Amino acid sequence: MAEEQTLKRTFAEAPPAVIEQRGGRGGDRSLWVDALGAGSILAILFALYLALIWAPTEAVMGDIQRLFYFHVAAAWLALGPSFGVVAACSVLYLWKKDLRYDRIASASAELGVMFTTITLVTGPIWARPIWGAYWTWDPRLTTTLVLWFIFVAYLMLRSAVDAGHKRARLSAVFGIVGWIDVPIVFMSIRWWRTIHPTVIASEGGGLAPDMRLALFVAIGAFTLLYAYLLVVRVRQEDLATRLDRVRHQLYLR
Amino acid sequence: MSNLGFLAVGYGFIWLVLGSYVFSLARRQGGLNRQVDRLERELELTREAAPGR
Repeated sequence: MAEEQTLKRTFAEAPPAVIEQRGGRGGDRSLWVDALGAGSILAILFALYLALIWAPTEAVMGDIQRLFYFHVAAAWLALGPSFGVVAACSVLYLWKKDLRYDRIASASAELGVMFTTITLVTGPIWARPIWGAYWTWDPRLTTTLVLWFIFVAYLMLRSAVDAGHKRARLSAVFGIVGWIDVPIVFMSIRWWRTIHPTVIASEGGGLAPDMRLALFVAIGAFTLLYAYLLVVRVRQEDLATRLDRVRHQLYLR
Repeated sequence: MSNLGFLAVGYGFIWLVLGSYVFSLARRQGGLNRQVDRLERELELTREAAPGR
């Protein structure tokens, strides 16, 4: 009975914290996040127009080459921003011990796995009519597959350990070590014999100017989408954490 | 399958993955909103049960 009274008193005294802490709730989203979402949709539509209609048809490969624009954009998003943010936020977490960095790293890893999945599936779809095989154990393909496994394992590790500093510490170390594969993926086509073409080269990779523009617009559009999805995902994680904290505070668990 | 067929499968897969992810985010957001509403209702009930606190 006394416990019930304590619970009721805690309830009565704590509410403002809950009401005020709703900042991350979907309905209270700020305007700039909505603008970012709308901007990314418009940019993707424009990129689709450039990739599918405006860009010239490649002379040797034909229309299948149009897959290139979003395949490369997805690969760039995975290797650059997504796993880069995981590594940077992991270092920041280990340095500052602020769980917000851990939440950003986790959200970015999720997006990185999604973009790597797109890269790993669209690549073979493009390779089949051109190379005559969906998959070869080429260094670029193999190191990218390893990267995908590393970050799937990262997400599995997070789901297996209870939320808190222990999970954040383990994830941060895993994220930093896992990121080491990113430069290996990037350099694989220079270090080893490969049939995978070089896209980013000092001479521009041999792309026609129209194709290069379509590629850069696709990369820009996917980067905007990544930024939007990251913000939304991190806000969800923030809200879930606040909810947990309030529930814990109110003995609702 | 023709070149265009492979192209359609490739683009179809990209938008399927992105659409599924956005859908999962929307579902998760819906779940969080419901949890916030439930917590607020419970807090309101407790406030009414313990007025003046």
